[in-house]
Amino acid sequence: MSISLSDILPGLRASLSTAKKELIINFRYPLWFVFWAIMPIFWLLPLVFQGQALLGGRSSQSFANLSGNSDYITFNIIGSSLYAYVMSALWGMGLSLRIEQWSGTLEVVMISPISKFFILLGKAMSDSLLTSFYALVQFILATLLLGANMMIENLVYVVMIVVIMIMALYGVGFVLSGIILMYKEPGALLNFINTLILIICPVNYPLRSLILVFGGFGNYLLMIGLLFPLTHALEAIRTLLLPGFTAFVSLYVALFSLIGMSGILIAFGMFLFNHVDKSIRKRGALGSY
Amino acid sequence: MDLLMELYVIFIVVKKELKLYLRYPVWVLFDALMPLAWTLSTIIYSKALVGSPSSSFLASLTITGDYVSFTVIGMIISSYVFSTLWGMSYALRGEQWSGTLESVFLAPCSRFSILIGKALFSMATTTLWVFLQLVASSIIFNIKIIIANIPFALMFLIMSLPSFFGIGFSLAGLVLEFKEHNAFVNFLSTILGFILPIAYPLVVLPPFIRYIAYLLPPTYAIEGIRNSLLSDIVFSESLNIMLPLLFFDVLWMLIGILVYRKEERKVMKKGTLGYY
Repeated sequence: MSISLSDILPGLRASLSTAKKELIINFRYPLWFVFWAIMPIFWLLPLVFQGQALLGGRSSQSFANLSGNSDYITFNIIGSSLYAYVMSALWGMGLSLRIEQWSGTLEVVMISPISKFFILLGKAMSDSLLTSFYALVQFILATLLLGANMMIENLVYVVMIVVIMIMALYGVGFVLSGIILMYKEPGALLNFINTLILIICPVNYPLRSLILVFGGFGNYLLMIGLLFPLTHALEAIRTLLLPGFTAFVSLYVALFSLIGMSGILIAFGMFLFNHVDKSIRKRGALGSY
Repeated sequence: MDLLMELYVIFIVVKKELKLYLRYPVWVLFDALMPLAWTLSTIIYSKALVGSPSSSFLASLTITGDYVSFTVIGMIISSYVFSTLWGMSYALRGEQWSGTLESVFLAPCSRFSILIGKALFSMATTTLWVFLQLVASSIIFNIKIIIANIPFALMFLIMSLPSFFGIGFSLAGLVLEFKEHNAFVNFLSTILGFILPIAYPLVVLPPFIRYIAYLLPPTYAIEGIRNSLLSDIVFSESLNIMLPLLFFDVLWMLIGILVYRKEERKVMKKGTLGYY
């Protein structure tokens, strides 16, 4: 899938058209739109009530020992807002071509005279736009409803890290698109990855909790967790936003890891997608359900 | 004789569902392992919050400070609720996807036998995975339950089944009319996951949400089973859980049958049974 300079401008136009089409389809289902904007707050609230039942307040000494910051509610507001991007990369990007297949439009998309990279890019653009909206709504709603103690002067840096994280996560999305195009039925795989990320990445609890719970074995889980871009993004963003937060990886290591992962995942995702594309065309399995 | 035939229908539906289920081994594996993974994530969170094996604050609110046992049992029982929601809402929608809904409706038997068969299958598989979860949780998390009270806990579970079936019938009827069950059940599961006393007691919820929880039979099922397994419960003390549960059994069964019948009649009259 080589892309020449003369392909870039029409390619970007195709990306924008794809993004526009995806947004139009999304706005056609207002109920889903409202669901994704509002529902994540109801996934966050049980964590808050659980904390209330176990501690009787919003401060946890154990959380402070593990991460330097005792406010588990603000910790979770950040975690669950960023987790929206993982959901989007898995269920949005990962499923994007499968959805074209369900709609009966996959063949039309695949024979369009443009690099498939630009089509995936368009889907990533619309997805990241929508998810940023959902994440922002969740972040603001949760902050207003539950209160949060953050260093908001660092928000500009946070936005920069979120942008890099989006690139890395959409690299994961490209990889998954390829795998799902090949093996078709995605439900179990996506649910499994979703749950794995929730367990080994510091979405709801500090990374060091894995060692607290699993002892020495927790170190291995922690190492696996560090292979996911979300872990580095969460560590960096919490360092910037939470007063006193002691990250497991320093801000610069997290930042460079994220940049490196973005490049590797996007390149690998495109390579894999290209390979699958060729393979299923050869086998005539593109349309098989 | 008719009753025997209807029981035979229920048996055949369970057998058919089991055959279909076993054709997708990845999903079987998923059903077996994933609830354990979800529980694991909640337990890690609790441990990170408390740091020690017991929470004195939880002990002041409930019968125990052992939050791991408290949460594991809550999550296990709630899996019956969620499996009913997903299983029953998908029951007829799945037939529609497979193009077999009309054939099912033409069968000379009560539709409720078919629905009960599907619900029983869903309950049976959930029971199997719950048992596996309970054994695995006892080993991994060292949860401490009172073995002698297991029959008491089972009694609560059996007592709660009619109300679960009733909720399931209502859902099956609503999905028959509104078709798309995913968004609806996702919404309902999210709300229930928040309102029910799964990982925390109701007392920490704001009062108006607590009153809604008291109207839901799963609240009593979770409380009853958890109290049985974690404390030396006295029969007379359980009456305040048993009586509402029996009341909701009757109420939800009636609601379930009425809603299903009404929705079925509606789609038949409108001729939209086959609509996708």
